[in-house]
Formats: sequence, C-alpha cells, structure tokens
Amino acid sequence: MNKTIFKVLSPVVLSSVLLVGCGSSASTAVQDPSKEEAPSNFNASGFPIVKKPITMTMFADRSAADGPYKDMSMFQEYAKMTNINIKFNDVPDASFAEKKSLILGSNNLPDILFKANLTPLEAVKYGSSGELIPLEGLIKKYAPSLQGLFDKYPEVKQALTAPDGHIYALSDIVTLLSARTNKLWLNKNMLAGVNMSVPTTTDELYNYLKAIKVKYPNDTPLSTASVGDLINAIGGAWGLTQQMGYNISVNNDKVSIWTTSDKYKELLMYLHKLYQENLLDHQITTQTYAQYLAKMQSGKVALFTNQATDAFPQDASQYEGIAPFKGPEGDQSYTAGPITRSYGAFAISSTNKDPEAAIRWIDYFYGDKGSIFFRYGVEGKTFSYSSDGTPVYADSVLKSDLGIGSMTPWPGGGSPELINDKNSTAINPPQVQQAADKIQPYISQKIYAAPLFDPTTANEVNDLKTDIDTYVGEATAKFITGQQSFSAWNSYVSQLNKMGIDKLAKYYQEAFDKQYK
Amino acid sequence: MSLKPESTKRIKEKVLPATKPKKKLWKNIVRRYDLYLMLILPMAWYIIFLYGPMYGLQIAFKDFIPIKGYWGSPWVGFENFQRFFSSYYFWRLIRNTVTIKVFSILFGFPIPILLALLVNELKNNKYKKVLQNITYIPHFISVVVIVGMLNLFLDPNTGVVNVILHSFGIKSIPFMQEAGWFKPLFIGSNIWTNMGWQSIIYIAALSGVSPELYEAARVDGASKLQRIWHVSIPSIMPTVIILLILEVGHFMDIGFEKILLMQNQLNMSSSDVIATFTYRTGILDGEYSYTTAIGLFDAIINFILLIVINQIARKKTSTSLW
Repeated sequence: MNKTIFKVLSPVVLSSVLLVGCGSSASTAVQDPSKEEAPSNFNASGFPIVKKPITMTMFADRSAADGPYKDMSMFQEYAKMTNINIKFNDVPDASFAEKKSLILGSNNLPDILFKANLTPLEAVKYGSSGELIPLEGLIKKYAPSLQGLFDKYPEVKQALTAPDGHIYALSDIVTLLSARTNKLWLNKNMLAGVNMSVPTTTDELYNYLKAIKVKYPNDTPLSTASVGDLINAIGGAWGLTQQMGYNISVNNDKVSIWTTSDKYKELLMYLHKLYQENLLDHQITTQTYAQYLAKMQSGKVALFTNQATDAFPQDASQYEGIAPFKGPEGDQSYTAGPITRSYGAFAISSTNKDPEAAIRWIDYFYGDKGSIFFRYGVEGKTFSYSSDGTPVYADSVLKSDLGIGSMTPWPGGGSPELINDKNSTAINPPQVQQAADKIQPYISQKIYAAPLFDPTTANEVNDLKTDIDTYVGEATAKFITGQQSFSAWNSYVSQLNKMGIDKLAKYYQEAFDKQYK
Repeated sequence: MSLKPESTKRIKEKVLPATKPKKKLWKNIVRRYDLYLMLILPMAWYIIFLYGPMYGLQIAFKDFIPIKGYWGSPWVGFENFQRFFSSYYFWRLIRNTVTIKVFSILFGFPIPILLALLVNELKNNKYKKVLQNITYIPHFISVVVIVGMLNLFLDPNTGVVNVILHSFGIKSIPFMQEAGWFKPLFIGSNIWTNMGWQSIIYIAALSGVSPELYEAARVDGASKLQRIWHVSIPSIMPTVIILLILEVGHFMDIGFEKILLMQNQLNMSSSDVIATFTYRTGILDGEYSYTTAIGLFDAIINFILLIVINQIARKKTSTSLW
C-alpha cells in the first residue's frame, strides 16, 4: 500500500514543486522618489498635507509603556489635521523583533515603519535592495524641520547617511544631553543610615557598598538592568565608554575595541570582587527589565542606574543623582548616547504611493511646535502651559490607566521625534537635570553614532559580530560571577584574536575615516 | 487455506505481462473510488503545506533578497554551509544538540515503559487510577509555567531546594545560572512532564496481551519478574521499536521553546543548540539564507539517522517502519 501511494504521489508532488511560485523579480535599483512630480492632491506646505484624504499602513513597535496606537488622541487629532489616515499595525515589544524580520523578509511591506528600531545593517540591506526608499531628496524638498536640524547639527546627517550617500532611515534627534545618559541614583535614606559621604572613587564605592551590606543585609547594594548597563555605569572609571554604538574608544581618530584591553580586565576584576562579596545583585545576568523595574520601585537598592525618575515616581525624592566614579588610575568618564540616539526609528517603504506626504507627515514631529504636539497632544485637552512656559500634562492623562502612553507613543523611547529642553519636562524634571549636570563634565566632547557600512562590509561585520558578541557577552558574565577565573584571561584574548577582532576593528576604523573624519 | 501447492501459483505469475500491477491499481481506484476520494484531502494537505513550501529551500544556496523573491536572488553555492561549518560555535551547537538528545533518549525513553509495566502489575484498580492520573497531569502544564516553576524552586536565595540545602549546611547552588546544571534540569523536568503521557500507549498495548499467556506462564512456574520479562516485554516490543524509530527520526529537534526559556548568558555554553541558534540568527536577525542552510543540514541528518535506525531495526527485529 505504501508503495502505491508513493507512486501516485510522486508525479503530483514533482509538478507542484515546479509550478509553485515563479516569483516576480522586481528591479532593485535605488530610486529617488523626490525626482518625480508630486501628485496634484499634495500640498507642499501647511496643513492639510493632502487635499483629499488618503490612507497609509503603519508598522510600529508598541512598548510596555504604550497603549494601542489607534486609541491615541494625538494620532486621531493628527489625522484630522493632515487628511492622512493611518492603519496601525502596532506590535507589542516582546515579539517585535521577530515580526519586523518577517515583514522585511516576506516583502509584505507596510507604507511606513514607525518606531521600528531598524538596525544599521537592516537599513542598508533593505535600502540598497529597494525595499526602503532613500529620503535625502524628499527631506531637502519637503521637510524644513529636518533639513534645519541637518544644517544645525551636521553630525546628524553624517550619522544617518549610508556609504552610498542615501538616507534610508531616520533616528530620533536628541539635543537634550540628559536624555542620552543613564543616571546613577543613590538612595539617600541608606546613605544617612550608614552615615557616610557620597562615594566618589571606585575604592570608596566598594567600602560604601560593604557598609550598606552590613547595615542592610537583606537589601541589594548595587544593581543595574543588565551586565551591559553595569559596564557602562562603572566602566568609565577605567576610561571605557561606548563610541560608534560599540565597545570602542576613539583617540586621535584611532579606533580601538577595548574588550581585549587590560583596562577591561581590571574593570571585570573589580566587578568580580563586588559580586563575590554579595555587593552586586546576583540576578544581574538573568533578570528581565520588568523584574528590575520592580526592584527600583521597592526602595531596597542602595545604588542603581536609570535614565530618569519616571520608573520610580512614588519615591523619587529619596534618591539623588551622583557623579561618575574616579578609577584607580584617575580615569573618570561616562558613556552617553549620540545625538541620533535611536537609529532606525522611521523609514518609508517602496510600496508607499505618497512618499512626499509621508515625509511631510513625519517632519512635523521634528519641529519645535510639532514635537510638543507629538509629546503632549492638544493644548487645553491633554496639556496646558504652566506659568514659566513649560508644557504640563493634564490630570486626565496622568491619571488614566496607562498614563502618558495612552495618548502618545513616545514613552519607551525610539520614536522619530525631536527631544530638546523645551519638550521634555516629563522625563527631565529638575531632579533629573541636576543628575545630568553632575555627569555632563565627564562625557566625551564628541560622541560618534554607530556607523553605516556598505552592504558587503555590513555582512562581513555582522558575521564577525555574531560570534564575537556572543563570546564576549558570555565570557564577561562568567568573569564577573567567577565561573571563569582570571587566569583564563589570556586564552580569552587569544580566542578573540582568532575570531577576528582585529578585522572588526579595521572595519570600524575604515567606517570612521569615511564618515566622521 | 487453499490446498493447492504453491508452485503452480508462481508459474502463473511469471507468465503475466509486466504492466499488470499498474492496471490493477487503476482498476482498484475505479472500483474503490469512494475510499480514494477520502484520500484527496490529506494528500492535498501534504502537497500544499509540506511539499509546496520546499521550493523555498533553494535559498540555502542563495543570498536571499526579499524584494527579488526566491527565484531572483543570486546563487552563492555552498557559501552559507561553509559559513556555518567554519563558525566558532559550530561544534558547540552540534555537541549540545547531540548530547541533550542522546541523554534524553537514554534516560527519557525507558522510564515510561517501566512505568507502564508497573501500572500493569498493580492489582488495586483505585490505586492504579490515582497513579496514572498523578503521572500524566504534568503533561498539561504549559512549558512557560514549568520553566517558571523551575526558576521559582531553584532560586539561589528563596527557592525551596536551596532553602532545604541550606538547612543541611550546604551552600546554595544557583542551579539555573550554571552551565553544568542545565542538562540534568532540562532532561529531568522533561521526564517528569512526559512520562505519564508517554506511558499511556504502552499501557494500552499491555492491556491487549492475552491473559492466557500469563496463565500459562504461571502454570509453568514463572515468577512475577519472569512473567514481565518473558510475556509483557516481548508483547509490547513492536510498539517500543516503532516509537524508538520515530524518536530517533526527530533526533536533531529538541523541545526548543523550553530551552529558549531556560537560556541565559551563563548557561549558554551548554544550552545553545541548533534550534535556538537558528531562531536567534534567522528570525531575530533576519538572516534567512544562512539559517535555511542550517535547517537543511539539520533535516539531512535526521533523514539519514531515520533510515539507518530503520535498517537496524529491520535486520535485528522484525518490526520497522518500512
């Protein structure tokens, strides 16, 4: 019986395999839509953007702090202003990376990608193959706010432009430095409890944490959301900060990756000491952000990092921001994000029939007026101006179940928007600004954003990084927890050399020379 | 039973033309058209959902660019395979995948059989039912909950297990964060989850054994153990062999969701398997060509193993899939 079925099946199967999907092969040249005549329905300036209503599909990330996009009053209002109706497909954060890969990979594209967190590799890969359109021509023609920011901050345009000269994706533009750093928050009650002064060096920090452990044995002396955050919080004391979106330091235009350096070893030894003596949270390697959030709100952590106080508003007053620590060799520096903080926040796909309308639609959020609208909504409805001219949310917004995330998608970060001192009172109350001021002197004068490689190099870099980052991440966690002793350091370094870390540094150096020199 | 000698039949068959079987098949189809109509749906399902998508396998040999589609993407030959074989993690992935599976079969496969033999020997019906229920209830707990339970019970500071160890003066062990503990925990919890469920099929097979056999064995003076050894086990052997073949046919795919949930930076060295690697690089980073190649490699190994184990089973025992 089996055999007979097989005989019947085989011709059918073969023919079906041959018949299925002779896929269409589209042309893949990058085409600049700004060279085409704008349709008559389109207004080049002012509102509405289009005369007769049009509809666009949007694919977006919805972070834990946001409600459904379709219920956001800001977007509803904006649809009325612009005549552009958006069909939202906002995917919860947890499964967003998967969905994004599948959407880009299946060529089943939405008209616009919003808060999409596209990696430089994705932007270049899908941009040069023609799935995403180049935006620089459209920006020049129809986006005065963006163009103005490009002129004012040349590094923004630098960071967004791919090696082939095209801009495939936008980032947020964060001129407010405070929004680009994680602050160090010290619990004032515990500080008073152990009767010490604020620690300023790594040695003082060690003694301070020890004193905390003695006085509050059931609490956590030091915690951060992840090992990466920990390295960024303490690493500056050994002169290790992030540049080009990677573990890189730049001295006199020379790029070096510091994960094989002796300074990194010293930093890990210090962290291992903290871990061993139970001064560092033992769940740091495994906890989720939600668990960390609960810790911050518990009031049981003596020192931790977070961008602002919005995560623990109930008891924000018992914390103060402190300056970065000075290391044993006198280093004192701190990591900050570049002005283009979150790359890949916005892109337009090649299936979009009205790219000029889409670029005008997004450009508004990069202007002074539009960015306030984006973050605060409509004056009199969702916010009002206080006496000193700063916008303040209405109580109805703050008291709603989801808070600010019920009316605008900016909470959670990564939206295509302008963040400056005028529109950020919510994330930058005086307390946070004070903390930022303490950190500011130790931030590098120039912060380079992650570079964009050309497609071939991007693939090479990606291959190298896939292995190297996994290895460094594991080894770092093991060195800190003591599962690997520091006698194995040399073999760790030689392993990285074998994996081609020098080659990776060379690629970054070339990208640096091309993009930033 | 015909009394005709066999030889005459054979001579007749030799004379027949070679086209006979085909004709016979069509005749059969026409005569039994209603039965074959019932076959159409499952066959269509196989063709559309299992054979149809196979044409996408070609991207394992291409540099897949979505906008150009499957056919338009440029060929790269075996580049993706080479990249995988020369990857730093290649041997680690193979080692973890194989060892987890080997130990799973070694420990996990016999236990349901033993459980079934045990249940079969129980005379007290009430007790039997209770035992069966208790052992197969865990099968209905979702994987996410099981891993949550593991995290809870094995927490270094607050977990039940470590609290007990503490009371005996043993230092607490961070079970979930240690590479060495990953495999025992993974396989152990799998056994706990599945043994009752998997034993059902053996219990069913055992209930079909004729009581006369046991009677006869008892009359011959066989002890309880001898009865199990000489009656129960031989009678469920065909079932055991078939299930073992199927199990080995899935050699390279392990309970991927569970591993993914249990994975963290610290146990990666013993928990990273081909499936999780494929998920990370394929679905999360969108490297479809590369991971298709890995998946194809995986499938080929499964296929070879299936054929080999089937051959062995056919040679050594009389049961096999084909």
